Amino acid sequence: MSKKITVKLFASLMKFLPVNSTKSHGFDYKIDETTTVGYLIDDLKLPRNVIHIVLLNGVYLDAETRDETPLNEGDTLGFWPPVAGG
Amino acid sequence: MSWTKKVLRINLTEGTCTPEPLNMEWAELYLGQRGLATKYLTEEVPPTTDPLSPENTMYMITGPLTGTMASTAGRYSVVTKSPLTGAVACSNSGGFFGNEMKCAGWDMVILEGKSPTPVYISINDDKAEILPADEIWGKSVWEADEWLHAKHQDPQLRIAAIGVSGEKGVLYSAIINDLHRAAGRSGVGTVMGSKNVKAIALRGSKGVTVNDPKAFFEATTAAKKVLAENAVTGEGLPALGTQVLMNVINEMGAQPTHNYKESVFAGASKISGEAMLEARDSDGKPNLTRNAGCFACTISCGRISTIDPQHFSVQNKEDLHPSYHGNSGGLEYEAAWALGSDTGVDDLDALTYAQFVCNEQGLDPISLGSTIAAAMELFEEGVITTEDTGGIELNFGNAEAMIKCTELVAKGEGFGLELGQGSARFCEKHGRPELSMTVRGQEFPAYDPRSIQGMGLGYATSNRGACHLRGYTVASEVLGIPIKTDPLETEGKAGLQIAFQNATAAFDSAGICIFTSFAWSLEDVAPQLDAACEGEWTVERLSEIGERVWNLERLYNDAAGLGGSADKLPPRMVSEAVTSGPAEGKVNGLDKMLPEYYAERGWSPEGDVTAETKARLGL
Repeated sequence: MSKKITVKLFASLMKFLPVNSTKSHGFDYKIDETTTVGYLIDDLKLPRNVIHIVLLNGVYLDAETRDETPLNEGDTLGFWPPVAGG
Repeated sequence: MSWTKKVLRINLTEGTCTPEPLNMEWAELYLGQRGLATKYLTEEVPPTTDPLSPENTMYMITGPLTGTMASTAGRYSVVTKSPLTGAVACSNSGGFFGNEMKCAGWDMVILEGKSPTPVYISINDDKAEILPADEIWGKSVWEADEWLHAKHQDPQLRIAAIGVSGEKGVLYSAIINDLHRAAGRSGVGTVMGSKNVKAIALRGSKGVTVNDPKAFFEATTAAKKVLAENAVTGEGLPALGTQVLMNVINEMGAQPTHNYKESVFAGASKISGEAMLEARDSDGKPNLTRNAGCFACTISCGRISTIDPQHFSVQNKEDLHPSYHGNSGGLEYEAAWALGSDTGVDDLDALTYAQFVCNEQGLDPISLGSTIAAAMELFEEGVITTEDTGGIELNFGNAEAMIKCTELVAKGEGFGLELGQGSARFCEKHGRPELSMTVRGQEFPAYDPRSIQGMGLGYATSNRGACHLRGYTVASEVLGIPIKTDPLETEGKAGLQIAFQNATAAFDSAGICIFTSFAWSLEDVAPQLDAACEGEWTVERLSEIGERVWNLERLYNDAAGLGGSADKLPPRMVSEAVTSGPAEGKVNGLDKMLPEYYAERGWSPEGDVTAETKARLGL
């Protein structure tokens, strides 16, 4: 049985959401034991030059090491471009 | 040049308007705006002054770049002694009022004393008058704005006014200029109301001159290019505004929820910047109409929005101002979290309505939302009942109750008058002071300091009470600007806070918006000031000015009894751990950061500014 995670895309990355996204700014994504964050970015054709903040279950993934980060059943992975406010 | 070198001093007791030269010796040391007006305050208003007495003075002041072609150069500040905190207050606003003051030939307008009757101030270049305001006393900011424009028959009049809340003594009343820009925090509008001043109406035709026009053109053009090419100031802020933060802060587990009991809000995405773009069912339109910019701004982060015409907040209210049925200013993140996640309300239109009310009646939505949230916790604990609230079922998540409280505070009526005293006084009155999420009596902004450690140190040491705009280490700890640091770590946060606090004080004294600092450092600001002003303005000099301003504010607070003894966080932040999300189990490590902060500031272990530091900074 395949495992899945939730991928969330925010701000200008929302345009990369699949048309049938049902969750809030996000969608389910199937993974297996070998799926990493880097694989997912390439698979979804997310623009690496735009991605700035990546949160795995709310924890920031460092840009240097995030590509190798493995994914596990039930994870939530969020992507943002550079954003700020206040 | 760049300063007009002229100050308009208005004595409301005597009924006089007197020009005087700007103290240029002080301008050399404190630059302008926040720094320079604080210097005036410390020289003229004793720290023990009752903030709502005629002895308090209010300074509306521009910076040397205000009114120039530098990006975001429309800023002005209001400096006074705060009735909410008793500490130094400095509230900064954009729009078009600041540049109009400068174009009228004034660096600063000082309001001192108290008028015996309601008045407004009319300034048309050199001509200044104190005029009767009986017809607009008791009216909203928006109604006063319309009346003044009609009376003076001048569509380009720029107006700053208070609403009914400021007249009625709500302690976190704001001064609103240009309909929806606010000098929002610390009750500066309450001080204006205590002086019986309803509004200041400005018209300037003189323009602003700079010292070296060619160098200034080159410096400002280069700096604007930096803003345009930066992903935050060039794309993110114009597209989604401050509300882009809602989902980031919530996903990382720092979203203040239910009076800071929790730090993840289930309804966050429904009230986020992204949600403001989504078409609604009733009319197919999104909440957001367009972005908006202040004078000379090349970022344009402001929001112009509409309320769903089918929403209960605008139904069957015949006396509602027409703006509630059309486009108006908001929703901004600080209003959205305080009136939203903190009260448990996930209704985007209810929040937009409440923000419009804050603009119309001159209220700080942060202090308002936080106080309502604290009251909700007291209600759910049974400490207060419907007998106290005037029949309002004040449960978390009740949008109707949040709106009813907002309307009552805005008009200073009934239960609203009690909420209008702020959460510190409200919780104290009901015997639960620990439930007030405040420092120095001012309500927290939108970031749980247990999940973003550096912000806890920032709140505790902020000279105007808890605030995000004094040292926004969220930029580094969450957003990776200029470098990413770990939000759950305390190590290194003292130095980080100090760097942000000092730089922010310099930005706030220059006449530009702090949002430029997402792309600019003082390296970008210094060449603009150097070309605009006489003398030499370097990064080192601006850094020192920032530090001097911070220490000057601290000394004033020390003398008011609000120094080191007030560098504290509420018990919930240091002893109740986060219950869910990435920061689960964390409390704020203020006890680790504060001694390091004092040492790096050159203060004593008790938090006093030492004689050595004073001498070094020329204080």
